[in-house]
Amino acid sequence: QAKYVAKIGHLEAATQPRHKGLEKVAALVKERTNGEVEFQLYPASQLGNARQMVEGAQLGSSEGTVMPAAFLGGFNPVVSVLDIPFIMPEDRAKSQALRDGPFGQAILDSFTKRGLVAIAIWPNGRKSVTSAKPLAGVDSFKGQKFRVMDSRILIQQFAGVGAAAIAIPFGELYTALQTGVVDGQENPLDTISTMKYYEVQKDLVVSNHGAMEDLVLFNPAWWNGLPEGHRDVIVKAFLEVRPQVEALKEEVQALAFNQIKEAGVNVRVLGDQERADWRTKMFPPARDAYLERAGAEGKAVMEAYEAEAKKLGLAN
Amino acid sequence: MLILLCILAALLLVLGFEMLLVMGVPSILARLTEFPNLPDIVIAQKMVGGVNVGTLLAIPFFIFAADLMAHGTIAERLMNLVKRNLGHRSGGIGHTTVVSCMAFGSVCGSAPATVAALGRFLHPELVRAGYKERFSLGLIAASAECALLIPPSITLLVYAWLTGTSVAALFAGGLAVGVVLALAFMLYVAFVTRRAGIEPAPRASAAERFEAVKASLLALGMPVIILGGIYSGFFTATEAAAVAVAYALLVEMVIYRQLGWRDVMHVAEQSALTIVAIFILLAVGSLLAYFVTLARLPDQLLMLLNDWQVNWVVFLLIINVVLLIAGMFIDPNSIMVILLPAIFPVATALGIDPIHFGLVVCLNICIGMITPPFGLDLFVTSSALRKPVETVIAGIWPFVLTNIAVLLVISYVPSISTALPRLLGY
Amino acid sequence: MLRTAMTVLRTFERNIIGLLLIAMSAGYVVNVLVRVFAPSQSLHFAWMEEATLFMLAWLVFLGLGLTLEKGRHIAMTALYGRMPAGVQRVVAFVINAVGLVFCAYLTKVGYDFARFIVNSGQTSPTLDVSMVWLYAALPVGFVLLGLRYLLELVGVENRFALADRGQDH
Ligand code: NA
Ligand code: NA
Repeated sequence: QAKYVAKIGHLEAATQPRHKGLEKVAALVKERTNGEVEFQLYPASQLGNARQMVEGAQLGSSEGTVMPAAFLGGFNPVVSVLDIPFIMPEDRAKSQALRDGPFGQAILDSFTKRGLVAIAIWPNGRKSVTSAKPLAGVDSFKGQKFRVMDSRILIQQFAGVGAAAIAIPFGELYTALQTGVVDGQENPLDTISTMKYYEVQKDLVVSNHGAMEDLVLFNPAWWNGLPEGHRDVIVKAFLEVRPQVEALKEEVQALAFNQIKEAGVNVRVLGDQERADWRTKMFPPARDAYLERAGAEGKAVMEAYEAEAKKLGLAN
Repeated sequence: MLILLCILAALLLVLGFEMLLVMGVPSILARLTEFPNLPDIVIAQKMVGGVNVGTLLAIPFFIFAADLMAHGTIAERLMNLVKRNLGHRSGGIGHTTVVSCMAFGSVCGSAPATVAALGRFLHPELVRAGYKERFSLGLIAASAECALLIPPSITLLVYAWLTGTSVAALFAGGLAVGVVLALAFMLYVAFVTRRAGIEPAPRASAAERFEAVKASLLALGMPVIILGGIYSGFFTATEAAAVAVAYALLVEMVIYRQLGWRDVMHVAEQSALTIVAIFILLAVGSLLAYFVTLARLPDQLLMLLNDWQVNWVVFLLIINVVLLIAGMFIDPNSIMVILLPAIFPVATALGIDPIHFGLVVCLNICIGMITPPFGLDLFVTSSALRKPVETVIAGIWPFVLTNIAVLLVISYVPSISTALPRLLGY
Repeated sequence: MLRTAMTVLRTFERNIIGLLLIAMSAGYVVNVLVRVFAPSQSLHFAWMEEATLFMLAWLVFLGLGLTLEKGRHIAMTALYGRMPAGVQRVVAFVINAVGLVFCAYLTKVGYDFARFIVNSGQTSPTLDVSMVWLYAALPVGFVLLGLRYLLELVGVENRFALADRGQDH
């Protein structure tokens, strides 16, 4: 019988990389704490929607959650910096350095005063765009209707290229794309494939413009009640499994890419020049929307990002 | 303890406690006895969360639109049209109910919304044609189920997401299964029509029919706008429900001048009371589903299945029984997210086709909407048509049995679900 | 005095739930019109979905009390209807007492949760207001429902006596 039990809920299906990663972490933690710490995993929104799971970790009805930054803006405006398009570079090693450096640490720290303990940032793929209309250059966005999640930053990202941003619930998106309520959407390739959006879309640009970053969050009371040795074990396990999650994600993305291509969708990978065009138009309005919401704290995090980006030799 | 709580719930139910207490009181006792360490404010969170769901919005809008049309004249005009053109056929209005619920439900995607939108029109006509009240209520509640099977279907989309199955293949299979179910209902309607000796109305003259068409031109705008608007991509199903409200207001207030501002406020208030009665049960239901999740019942089921070493025939039977029981108490989507991650791997390991399994699960979930005591369709029928829920339940049994018969056929004849998807190359 | 107060309250409840339903419908239709005729403007209306869901929550919880008073909550009363009058009085008393305790408990947890949300500072993604504007609906609603159970308990009102229980009022 475990001494410390954590109910950990998340949004993905049990077949997806995040859950597989969590299973690995759970096994490592169990082994290295001699069975004293047990993670009970609840995939597929079993414990509620995104908001309920985060509230649950705050109030202690569950002990932890692994949640995409995109769902956390309401709880902590600082973390929305990760929603800004092109914030993470194409280079995976440099992205890793960003997560591990002062920028990543500032994001983790910002959760403390919001009643949560954030111990790690996990990569969970990059978003690409699909549409029923041609996506030739950056100008072809003009006048198209794209579905976005409820987020002011993502709305500004599409406004930057002259596209209309429409909020449609995830569950209704397939039908909305099929009937043409919206023209296109943005999601990681494996989501586009699992949700079969490619069945109702014509063009795919593998743009990797937006990073999907997961925050590993715990309830402070539970976390602080653990012996320090156990806390170290848990943090190390999450960091140790992180490359495996990323590799698994890349693997399913590659599979998804082939599946989408074979289904007859026009696919192309965003070139360097065009990438720069997209960034020039999308980044500034999204960043401004972020700074407006996240205030002085956001400004400090943005400065930490710029300093790191300079060190890593990233374009700004 | 679980058994004691079930007995308590049954006791509260038969004594005439409000349903929200029947479900709410045992849930709170479960929290106190089974999960003593859980902070109790989570109860408030789960209850608000149960109504704060975007995909449920079609229900209030369709309730309001249907009430407006029933208080005005659109409903009457549309039903006159149906009667004059189909009333002379044996079982005409009964079959019309099945087909119109199927057609409407398929696009709007929500069984309760279908009941709300069509029930107020169809029920008086069924009774006037000579069908028993409880048969009419049961027929409406049951026919609306096809909404979940015939594409587009959010239920099948959720299944696809949880299991990685092709949406298009599931949709094709859903169409086949939905049609089989509708045919089974129509067969039952034909049987009841004959047994009860319900005579068709005399054939309307050509002039009468023409007059009915003329009188209902604006009323016909309603289905045209809703179905056309959804299919051509002007709006989503939920938005279509709100557009239906706007169209009803436009036609009844401005063109026919049947409703004044005071009438509209009165109708809005009445619709709101219906919405309250339904949604508070969704709120308490989400609490109930949460405690079922925390009890980790699926894990226990899984251990049982492993111990028994069952084959696919027995497995499907067990799943059917489990889902039927779960469906009596928990709402459809919760059942799916709670149970599927545990049982889907078992199904594939036994060699069951994922498409076939998806349709078995989906049909089970449809049945869950109409099995007492907790069946959302039952509550919507009762509340939207202002009929005692006992009458609805008394009328639903033949349809539940018809459903179970269809379920067994679908379970043990996989090709019904998979033939069409295979034909389309999935 | 009590009667006047209840009339005022009832008028408020009736109007507010009716207006909420109309406002929800209107907002949604405006959303569609903007998207169809001026898609570039729709980013200014992204908050509408959230606002509609907030209004739905308020409609549901604010309407709880009135719905009880009108006998419109779903209940199976067939057996109750066949009980002798004396037994009916006892059962009605038990139902109302349990209902009152239930409402008191939910008001308390609802209030505690609303305070928790205020302290957490959580805001909604597109409306950008505190989430307490959603969650406060629950305790307010259960106060109104609890009040009705109390009035039934002391015999000021009697929903079981409504001859046409479940009909329009
Ligand atoms: Na459907
Ligand atoms: Na049920």
